[in-house]
Amino acid sequence: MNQIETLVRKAEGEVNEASTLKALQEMQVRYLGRHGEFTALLRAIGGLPAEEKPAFGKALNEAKARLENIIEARRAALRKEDETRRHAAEPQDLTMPGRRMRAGLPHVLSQAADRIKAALIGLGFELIETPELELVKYNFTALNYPPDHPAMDDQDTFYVDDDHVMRTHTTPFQGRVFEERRPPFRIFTIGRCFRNEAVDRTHHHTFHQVDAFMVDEGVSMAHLRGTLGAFARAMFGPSVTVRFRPDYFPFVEPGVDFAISCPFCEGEGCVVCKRSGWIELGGAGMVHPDILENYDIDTDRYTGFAFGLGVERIPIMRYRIDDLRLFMENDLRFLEQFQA
Amino acid sequence: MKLTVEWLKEFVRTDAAADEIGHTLTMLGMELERMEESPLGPVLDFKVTPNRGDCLSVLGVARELCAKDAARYRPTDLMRECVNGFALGDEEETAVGAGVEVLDPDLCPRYGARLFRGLAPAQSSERIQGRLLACGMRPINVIVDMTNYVMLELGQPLHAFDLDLLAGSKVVVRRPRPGETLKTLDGIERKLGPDMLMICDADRPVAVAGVMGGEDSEVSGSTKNLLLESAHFDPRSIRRTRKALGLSTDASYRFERYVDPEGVVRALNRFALLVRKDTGTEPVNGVLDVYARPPERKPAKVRPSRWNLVLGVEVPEAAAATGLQALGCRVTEENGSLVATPPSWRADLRREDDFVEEIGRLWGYEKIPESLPIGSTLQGGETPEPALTSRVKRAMLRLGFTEVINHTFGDLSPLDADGERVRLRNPVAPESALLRCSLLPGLAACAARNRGRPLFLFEAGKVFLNGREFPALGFLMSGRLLEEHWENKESPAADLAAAKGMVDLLGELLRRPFEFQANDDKRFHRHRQAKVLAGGRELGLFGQVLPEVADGLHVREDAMMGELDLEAILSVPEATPRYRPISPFPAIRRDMAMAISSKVPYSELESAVREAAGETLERIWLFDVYEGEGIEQGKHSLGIAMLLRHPERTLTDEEANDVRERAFRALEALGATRR
Repeated sequence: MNQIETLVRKAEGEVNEASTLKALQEMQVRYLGRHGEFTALLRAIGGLPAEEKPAFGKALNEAKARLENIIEARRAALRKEDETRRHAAEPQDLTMPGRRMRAGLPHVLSQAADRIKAALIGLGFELIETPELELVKYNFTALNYPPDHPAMDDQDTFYVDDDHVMRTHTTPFQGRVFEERRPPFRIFTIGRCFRNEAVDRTHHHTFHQVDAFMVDEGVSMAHLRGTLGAFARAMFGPSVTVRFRPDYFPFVEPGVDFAISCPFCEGEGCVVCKRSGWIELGGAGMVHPDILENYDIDTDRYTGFAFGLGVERIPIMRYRIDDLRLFMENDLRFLEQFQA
Repeated sequence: MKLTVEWLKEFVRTDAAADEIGHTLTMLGMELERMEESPLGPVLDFKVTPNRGDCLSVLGVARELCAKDAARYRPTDLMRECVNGFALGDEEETAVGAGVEVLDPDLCPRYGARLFRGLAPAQSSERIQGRLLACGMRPINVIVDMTNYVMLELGQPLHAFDLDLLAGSKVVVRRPRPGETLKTLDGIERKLGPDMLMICDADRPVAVAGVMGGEDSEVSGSTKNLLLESAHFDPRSIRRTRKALGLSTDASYRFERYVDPEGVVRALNRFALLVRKDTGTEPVNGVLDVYARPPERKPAKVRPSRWNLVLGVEVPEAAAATGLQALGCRVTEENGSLVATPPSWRADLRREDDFVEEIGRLWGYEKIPESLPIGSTLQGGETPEPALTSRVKRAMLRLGFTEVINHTFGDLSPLDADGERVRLRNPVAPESALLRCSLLPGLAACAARNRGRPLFLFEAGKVFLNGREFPALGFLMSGRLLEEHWENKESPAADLAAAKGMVDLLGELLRRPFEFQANDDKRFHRHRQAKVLAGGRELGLFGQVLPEVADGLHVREDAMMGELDLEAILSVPEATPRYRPISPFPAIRRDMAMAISSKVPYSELESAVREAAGETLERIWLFDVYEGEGIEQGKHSLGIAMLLRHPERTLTDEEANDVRERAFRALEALGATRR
C-alpha cells in the first residue's frame, strides 16, 4: 500500500513540475500507460496473499484515478499558460491587409441590364435577342417609318449596304417577333444600338437600349402605365410614380414620353432631375394599328403597348457619372468603382 | 423652336405666366427645353415632333393652347382674323403683270403669289426686328424680315423674288432640264438632280423649290417690284432634295413637316397687311393661285369603345367631340360613334387611333390610372441564346474575371480571325469602319489601357464573320494569379496551364465537358495554344499570343487569350448530372512515380490507369512532373496520385496496393518505368 502512496506522491510532484504539455504527456504515458509504472504495480498483485488482493486492487485504481485528475488539472493549467504566452508573443495587427481572393466584377452596364432583366422577367416578359446588324426592313419599314420622313432625322444611321444597317434602336425586334409569334405575348430585348453621332460627354455612336412590348386582348395605356410603374419601382424604389407626356414615334399611337418622379430627391428638385422633380426615362405608346395590321393581327381584338429606354441612363443617374464615353473605355479605375 | 410669350399673347388671351404656358406646351407634346429672356420678355424654346409641322408657328401653338384649355386660353381678335385668312377682299381676282405655271403638280400641289410694285427701301419696324431676334433670326431687310416674320407667325414659308429679275415676268414650277445648274443664295453653284423641284423664270431655274433661293433673283434693300411666293410642296420631295444638296433651311424644315395648303393665300395676305402697315405700299390687286391638287381629308369613325379601351380611362363623348372640334376637326355623330374629318393642316390624322391620341392628349394623360395587365398570364424568362450568354457571364464572374465591353467598330488588327468581314459604308472614322470579327483586339486594347497590373478580363458580345453574327466569349489572363502580399510574395503568372484549367472549369460550369487538341492558329505561339471542342464540335481556342503581336499591342508577352463561339456551345447538348451515392467509408491514397517518354500524352496514361484501377478509383491527378538530371533524355518523370474508395466497405491496404499494382502494369505497357 505504501508503494502506491509513494508512487502517487512522486508522480504528483513531477506532474506539478511539468512545464510543457509535451512533458506532461510523456509523464502520463510513463505512469499510466500500458507499460507504465502503475501497470507494473498491478502486476505485483500476483505476489500478494489472496485476502489482500481486493484491497490492493481497489487502492491502486483509486490512486490511478486521482493521478489522472491531477494530470488533467495540470494540463488545463498548462494550456492556459501556453495560450497566454502565445498571445503575448504573437500580437496580431488587424490593420494589416488581409489576403484577398480575386472576385469577378460585372461591367457596370451589365449590372444595370441585370436589374432590368430581373424586373421585366418578374412582370412576365420574355427576353429574346435579335441582330445588331439589322435589315432596313425591321429597323425602319416594319416600324412604320415612312420613306423620306423627318422622323429619321434623329436616327442617324450606319449603313452597311442599302438593305443593312446597324440597328439604331432595339425596337426592330418587334417585326421579328410578329413574324414568329401570335399574340398574346410579352417580350423584351436588351442590347447595343448605333447612331452616327459625334462622340462627346453626352453622345456616343454606341449605346444600349431595352425595348419591351406586349400584345393581348384589352391592353390599354393604363396597363402601360401600370407596367412602367411596377418596373420603375423595381428599379428605383417604392415611392416612384410614372408620368406620361405626348410624344411621337412612328411605331406607336398614341405615343408618349415617360418620366419618373425623381427617386433621388423625392420630387424636391435636385441635380439629377435638373430641379424639375421628374426624370425622363424613355419612349412608349400603344403598338401602332398599322403594324398590327401588317402582320394580320385583328386590331379590334388585340391591342398592345411598347416601351423603350436607354441602359446607360440608369448608372449615369445612380452614380452621377458625367461622361458617357467611360462605359466603353474599360479603365479598371472606373469599372472597379462599381462592385457588385 | 423659339417664340416670345408676348407674340403668343397676341393670338391668345390668357393670364397664364410663361412658366405655366411652357408646362402646358410640354404636356401637349411640345417639350419646353429652355426659357430665355429677351428685351421682349420671356422666350419659350420648345421641341416640335416631326409629325406636327402645324405647330411650327405662333398660330399653331396658339391653336393647341386654346384646344387644351378653352377657359384659360381664349382666341384674340387677331387670331380670329387669322382663322378667317386675313382676307383683303381681292382673293378671287387674278393679279396682272406676271404669270405662274406649274408643270409638276405632283411635287407642287399649290403655288400662290402676290405682286408688289414700287416698294420704298425701308427697314422693318423695331417690333418685327425685335421679335425676329428673340426667335433666333437675323433681321436683313424689310422684305426678307417680313417673309421670316410671317413664317414664324403662320408656319408658311414665303419667298420673295425681284420681279424685275425674272425673265418673262413669270414663274414656272418644274423639274430641271439636263445640264441646268443654279447658284443658290449661299453662293454655291448647285448641280441639280432630275427629281428636284425648281422655281424657274421663262429661261432658267431661279430657286430650289422650298429649300433656297437663287442668287440671281435675290431681293435686296433696293428691290422695287416683288413677286412673293407662298406654296405647298410635297414634303418627301423637299426632304430628298435638301438632303441631296446637303442644305437645311427654316423653309425646308417646315415643308418637310407639312405646311397647310389652305394657308397659302392667308400668308400672302398677312405679308401684304404688314407691308402696308410698315411701308405704306399696297399690293397689286389680286393673287396668282395655281391649286392643282387640294388635299383629300377622309373622315374616320371614332368609337367611344375604342378610345376608352386604348386610353384605359373613360372620356365622355361630349368632351371627346369638343376636343376634336377645338383642334379643327369637323365632327358629326353617327350610330353612337363620332365621325371626324381632320383639318387641312393635319396630314397626320388618318385613322381612328390617331384621333384617339388627340382625345387622350386633350383629356390629359395624367388621368390615365395605373393598372397591371390582366388576361393571359405569361411566363417571363430568357430564351436559350440570351440565357446561355447570361450563364457564361456568371461562370466567368465565378472564375474571378472582370467584364469589359468593347466597341463593335474597329480597324484591322493582327488578332483578327481569318474570314470575310463586314464594312460600314459611312463610318464615323476610317479606323472605325469594320465590324469586329473577334473579341481579342478589344481585350488586347483593354490590357494595354490597364497595363502594369494582373488582368483577368472577359467580354461576351456579338462578332461578325463570314456572313454570321454570333455571340462569343473572349478572355485575357495576364500576370500573377495571386495578389501580391507579404504572405505570398511568390505567385505563378497566368500561363497555358492556367488558361487550360480555367477553360476546363468553364466547361464544367456550363455542363458541357470540353476537350482540348493541339492547334495551329497563326496568331498564337506555336506550342502554346489549344483548340477547344465539345461533343465533336469546335468551339474556339486559347493560347499565348505571338510575342511580336503582343508587343505591338502593348500587351504583356506572356498574356493568355482565348475566344469561344457561344452559338457553337449552345448547340452542344447540356449534360444532366446523375446522382451517385456518397460512400461513408474512408479513402486511401496511392501515389505512383514513373519515368516515361515525353511523347506519350498524359491523357493516355490517365485512361489506362482509370481502366486498370476500376470502380474504386474516385479521383486521379498529376502531382509532379520533372525532367532533367537523373532522367533519360526524351523522358520525364511523372507522379500520379489516386484516391481510392470502396462504396460499401472500408478498403484494405492490401486491396489498395493491388489497385496500384494493376495501374502500374498498365502504365508499363505504355512504356513507363517505375521510379
